[in-house]
Amino acid sequence: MGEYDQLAARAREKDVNAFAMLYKLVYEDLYHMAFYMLGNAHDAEDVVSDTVLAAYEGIHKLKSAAAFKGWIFKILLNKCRRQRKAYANRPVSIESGTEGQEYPADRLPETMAAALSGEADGRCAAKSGISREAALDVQQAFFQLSETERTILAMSLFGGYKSHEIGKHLHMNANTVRTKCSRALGKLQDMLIERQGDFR
Amino acid sequence: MLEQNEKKRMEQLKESLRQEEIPQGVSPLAIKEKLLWAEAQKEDSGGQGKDSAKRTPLYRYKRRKLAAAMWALAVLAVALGAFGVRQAVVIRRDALMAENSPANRRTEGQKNDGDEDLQIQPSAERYRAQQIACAGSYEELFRVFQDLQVTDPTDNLNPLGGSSWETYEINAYDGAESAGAAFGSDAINSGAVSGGTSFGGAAPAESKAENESAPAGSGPQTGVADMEDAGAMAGEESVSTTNVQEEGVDEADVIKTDGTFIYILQQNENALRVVRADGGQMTECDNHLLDAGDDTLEATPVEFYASDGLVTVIMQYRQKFYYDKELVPLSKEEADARLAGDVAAGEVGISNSGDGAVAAIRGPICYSDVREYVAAETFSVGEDGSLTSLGRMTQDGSYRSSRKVNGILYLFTTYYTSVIHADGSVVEEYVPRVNGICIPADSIAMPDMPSNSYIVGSSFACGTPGTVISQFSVLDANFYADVYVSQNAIYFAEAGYAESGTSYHEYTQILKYTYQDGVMTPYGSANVKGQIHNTFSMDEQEGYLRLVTTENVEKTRYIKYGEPNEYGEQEVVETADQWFDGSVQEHTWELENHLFVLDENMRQAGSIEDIAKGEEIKSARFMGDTGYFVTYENTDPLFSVDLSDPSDPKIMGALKIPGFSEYLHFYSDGLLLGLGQETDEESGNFISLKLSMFDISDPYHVQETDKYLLNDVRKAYFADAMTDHKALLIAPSRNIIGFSAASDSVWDEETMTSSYDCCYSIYGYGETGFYEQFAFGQQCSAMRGLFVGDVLYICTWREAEGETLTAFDMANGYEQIGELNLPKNFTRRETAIEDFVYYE
Repeated sequence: MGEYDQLAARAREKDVNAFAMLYKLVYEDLYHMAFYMLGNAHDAEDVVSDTVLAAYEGIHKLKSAAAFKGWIFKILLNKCRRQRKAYANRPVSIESGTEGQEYPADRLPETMAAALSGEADGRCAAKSGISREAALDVQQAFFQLSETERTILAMSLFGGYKSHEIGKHLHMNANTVRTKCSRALGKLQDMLIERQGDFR
Repeated sequence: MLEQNEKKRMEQLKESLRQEEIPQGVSPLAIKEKLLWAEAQKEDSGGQGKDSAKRTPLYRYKRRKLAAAMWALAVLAVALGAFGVRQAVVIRRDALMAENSPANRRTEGQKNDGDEDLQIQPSAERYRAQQIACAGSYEELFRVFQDLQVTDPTDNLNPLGGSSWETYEINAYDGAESAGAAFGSDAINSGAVSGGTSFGGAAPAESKAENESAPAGSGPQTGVADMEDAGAMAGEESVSTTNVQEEGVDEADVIKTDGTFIYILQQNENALRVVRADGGQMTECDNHLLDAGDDTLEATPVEFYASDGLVTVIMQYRQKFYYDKELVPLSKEEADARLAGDVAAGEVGISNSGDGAVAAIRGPICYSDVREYVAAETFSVGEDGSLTSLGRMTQDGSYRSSRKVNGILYLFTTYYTSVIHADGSVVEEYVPRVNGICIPADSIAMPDMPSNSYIVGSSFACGTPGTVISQFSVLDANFYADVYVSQNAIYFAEAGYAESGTSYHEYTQILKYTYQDGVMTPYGSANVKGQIHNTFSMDEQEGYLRLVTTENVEKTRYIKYGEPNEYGEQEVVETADQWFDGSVQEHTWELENHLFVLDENMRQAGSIEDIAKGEEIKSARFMGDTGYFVTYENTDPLFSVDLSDPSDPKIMGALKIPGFSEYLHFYSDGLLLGLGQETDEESGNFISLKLSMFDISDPYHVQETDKYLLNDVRKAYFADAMTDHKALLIAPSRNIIGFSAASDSVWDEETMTSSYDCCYSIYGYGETGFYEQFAFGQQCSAMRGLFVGDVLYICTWREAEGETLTAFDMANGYEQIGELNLPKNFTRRETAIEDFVYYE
């Protein structure tokens, strides 16, 4: 862990380059967790920006390099939590239909659609042979899930959180989290089977 | 832990979802620019650190936006659609409870934050036999809470209020440093606990393996009027009993019989029904309404015991949201107008309670600040089947489990403290109560890593619920996994997690309390690697505790991907355990299973570790000197273990078959029954629910003598009995294996209930293997069976209509000989939030 520790040490000295290197290691998961928890790119971007800023300002609290990911994710979680609070206070459009949590549904396909039409700069290369069309289907199905289900999956997939940690965040016990996770996966499966025959 | 199938699906899901493009603004390059610019600003304005960050335009913009959101009217979301009403409520409750409840805020920034390096010791010492020390005084207890920062001087109980966001932020970061001390590895290593009287260690003489209170013979409580039935042969069970884990230790259930009466709990509407069962003649003797709570308190019956002429019902009392409101009845036209947007001033929504009445709501939402508690109420059963209350016992917290042994009930709950006055003067705020009285300090155990939640236990004789025999509490650091009660001791299994570097370690803390005639005594505790699957993973024999665990070991790897090929796919170029240039961090999990034998002082006597890597334990059962457990990835090794020498447990054999068993039951001499699933060996896909019979006469060479796939006969996706052993009706002496299996579910728009295509079947096992002797299909939410003499009674629960009891003559080809309907008493009398529609 030699180089990693060095990075952390330099980042603590406010070395922007070093900090950016640490950030590079986690930024994709960071953004994706925010995006799938909040449901729109605009807010996800804001929240991630805030998080990075806060992390940078508070970097002196970081004890070891190994903890960086857990630590910056914790900040992100807190910020997402507040963002949700803000949502709850907002007037909500009647079309939302998902537990009152608003997301501008028209935004999402745009982002993926843009990728499909080749506007993307290639950063999201398709891995494992999943076609972009199929991925778009999955994403649209994903946003049909309830907010709790999306949060559980997003935290698990991108934050690497265990069910008890997710439980703490959502104030339910670990078993409930696991049950909801299973159900959500089942729901996705059903939705995607309807759409395209099989969810691989 | 996720099953293998689900893990694959999660991985595939992640692959799809991570294709979402990341905006330019948060790319590492852009972030670097932002930070450089921020540094430059700081230099310009001459400030340093946090304050200067606040002056950056980005930060200020964010604060304005957030402030604007906060100032928006606190309104509740409208979500339309069939499920809209319920879901709208749920999110609001989450938001209110989660964000603003001081108790929940408090747990942020505490243990398990960030980066305390908690070392779980290397394998040989990974268990720890600890004495359990008790608190010397309430002051000592209060100091723990102070350390955990659970005291809140603002005493802010209003769920709609909230502290400033600044404070919240600070707690989130700084908490890690002070709370980290609670997890110091020293505390685990030393095994010593600060302060208090020490129990345990020197074994209290009275709690030994030879416990005379365990009744010998035919099994758990059969209760008062054991009907002599001409049809039952000598040695056979004449009245079915709840399928319990441990002989002599009764477990609560939702349906029971004592041979004269059948008792049924109707949870949806808080009633206990008593039905006299006289062959095919069934008459309702009592339709006893249980407390349903009130505006501020919700009461739910959970399960009950029925034996020795006494019925003890366990009820959970919880807080609930309610409107401090005025309800104004509306006509249909008025209601429609409001839903269309024509809202009258001062109204916040309309109610649409189940019975059709509609009213407008005025007034704010409140959240009752009542402590959760459990009540156990005992009724005596009269000759005519009517119930008369003998009183109740109450205990703070949320119900975990209970047992009844020799007429004494042992009740276990989890209690979370809420807001506490900063000076600790009000003891009732942080000490759990039994029957309204705080548990004495010297009965409260304080393990190494305390938290603000307690395990609470009490015991009382069922006939005298007002008198507590003994009580105890443990400050509980971990998460409740399960409780196993043998004939001598109570074992709490708590799931623990510790961080070490970047990986997590799972462990289980076992807390042992011995018991006799209601007196419970703390004995000791131990930590073992891994987590238990359920209570059947533990078993006690001659003082030794045998248990099997699965450990999910998380490993971090660093992977470098190559350039995308023409299909956009990237290959793995290099992997390592350390970070290297160009690599990204990824997590993998590895499963390992272990078997431990602990002596009566909770010290490890023997173990087998790292069994069946990559698989997880699905079921286990122990009998005498032999243990069986099933691990599973795509096939099911059924392991047999020789436990005759506690210091040297040995695996005798491993039978590999497709699928896995979720529940194991010793059927007869040399036969082990398994209930589980058949899955495809390669893909792991579900094929069918199944019954398996294993010949264990030679544990070194276990054979599967027969298997029965339910889907061969009738489609079924799940069966309660697979995961709830009490849902299984099993009487090997009469060759009866009964349970219900369900397939498709159906949603009824009108009643807003769901039901399943269920079928209750009775299977037998004979020379040619399994066969189905009886099947009874219904559209319902659940079915349970029991028998008295030669009559089989099936109880069918229907969420909207109520219950039906149907009687079948087992001596006469299962001919239906009676039916009794128990309709629901009333539709939900509702003022609860679920039925309300909010305006935007």
